[in-house]
Amino acid sequence: MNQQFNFKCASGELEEIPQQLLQKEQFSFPEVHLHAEEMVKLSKAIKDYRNEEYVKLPFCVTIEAEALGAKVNLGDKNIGPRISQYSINSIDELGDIPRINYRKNRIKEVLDAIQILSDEGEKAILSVQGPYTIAQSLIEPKLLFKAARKDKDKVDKLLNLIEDEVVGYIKEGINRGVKIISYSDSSGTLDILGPNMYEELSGKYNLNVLKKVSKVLKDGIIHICGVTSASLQNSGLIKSISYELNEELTYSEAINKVIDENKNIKVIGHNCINRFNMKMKKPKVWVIEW
Amino acid sequence: MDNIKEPLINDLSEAVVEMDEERTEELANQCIDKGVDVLTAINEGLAKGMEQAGKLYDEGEYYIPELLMCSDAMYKGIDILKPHLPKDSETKFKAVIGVVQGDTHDIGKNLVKIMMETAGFEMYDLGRDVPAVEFVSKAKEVGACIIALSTLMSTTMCGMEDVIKILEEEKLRDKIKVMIGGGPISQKFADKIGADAYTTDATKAAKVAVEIAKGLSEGK
Repeated sequence: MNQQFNFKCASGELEEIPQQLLQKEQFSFPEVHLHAEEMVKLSKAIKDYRNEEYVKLPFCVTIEAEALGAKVNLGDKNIGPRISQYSINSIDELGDIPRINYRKNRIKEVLDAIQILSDEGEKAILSVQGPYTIAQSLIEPKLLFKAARKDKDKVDKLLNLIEDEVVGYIKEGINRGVKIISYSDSSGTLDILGPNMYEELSGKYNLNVLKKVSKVLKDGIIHICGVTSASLQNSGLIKSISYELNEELTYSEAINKVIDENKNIKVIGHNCINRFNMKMKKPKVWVIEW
Repeated sequence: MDNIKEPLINDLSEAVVEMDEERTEELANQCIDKGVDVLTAINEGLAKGMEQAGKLYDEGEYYIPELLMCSDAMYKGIDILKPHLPKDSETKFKAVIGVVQGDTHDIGKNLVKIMMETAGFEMYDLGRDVPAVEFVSKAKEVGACIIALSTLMSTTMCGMEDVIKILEEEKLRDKIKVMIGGGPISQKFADKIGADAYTTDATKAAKVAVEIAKGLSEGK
């Protein structure tokens, strides 16, 4: 039997924009969430501040949902963007979402910023949300649960559409020079949804995304958030192999070392991308397979 | 309860557990038609069904989606029965609940609200993305003894401390207790900000809320 995983998210303040940078006048809010040039400036400042190897974009989790129709409150310096209005209000509207237009809105800005950073020689991470997490920004979760019981086909159609858009977004990111996809479906976990709904609403779509994306990654990798990969493993959809290293390295150095020695590795999980810079005495890298 | 009415109450409870909104509505209407005591139908039928759903959740049989669907069935029944309640029903403990500013994830908050209602609280739900000051002003306005705060995001946890600070500034800290919960929250964080209680799930939250409210009313 596959090993069961229990991963507790503890990224805490590493998920936030550092206070010291928030106070600097050169960064204005919500502009850092709106314009490619501002995103470039802030992502580089965070990288320098934390002495990291990678720049990471975007600074919120609402980009995909907004591109698919949800309304977003962009917030201010203290509190970042969040969904202000769902775009789907009834089960009948479930199949009715727009395709992502990469030439419009904030998703265009994020991709433009990735392009600028890559052209400047920066190594960029693109954070991407999984289909269920996006879906629950488009529709009230309760409606989605009810639809999953009574109108399974409609829910399947919606999540398939989102899955295609997520894969498309990741491909766009890769074409613009992204080195690492940081992938997470943090709202659609096994302990929240339970085994049946997890399989129906989250797990299988995440697995599809991973399968499709792993084929198009050039020299990059996809790093799955530990909460997300633990759910996938505990429901039997993926398996994992650990590579243990006998020298003190940061998590990202350890990953680079494992990948250098095993060029076919594309998917890493069971850990947090925010720990990239942390020194580990005996680093362990979990490679995901299915 | 007589022999005809008892099965009706049991069916009502079962319809809630089965997440069947239409059946719950139908049975609630039958209760009215057959003159079943409305308070009994709510407490022994609907609330008991929700309690049973909570038990199934504790046992790992039900998960959050099932609990939310059970609660929708319960509310359908309450909507039908409530207008028939006698006006002088007993005074309940009051609590204000919401998701702190910056966060819109409200599943956990909704569950705690449901379980606290089932435990007898009158709940004032401020919804999602709520500024700290609004929790305090609502609690003052309605005379609530508990403010329950939830967040799923680590970036918005600080909003919980803001509520406690406002209560301290207004010298309300001994009258209004603060309960917190949500994915990134821990007992350590609760201790750090001085919250009165942290619980890991909705059923425990309801139990602790009852203890807190009783403690306050007894002057402890």
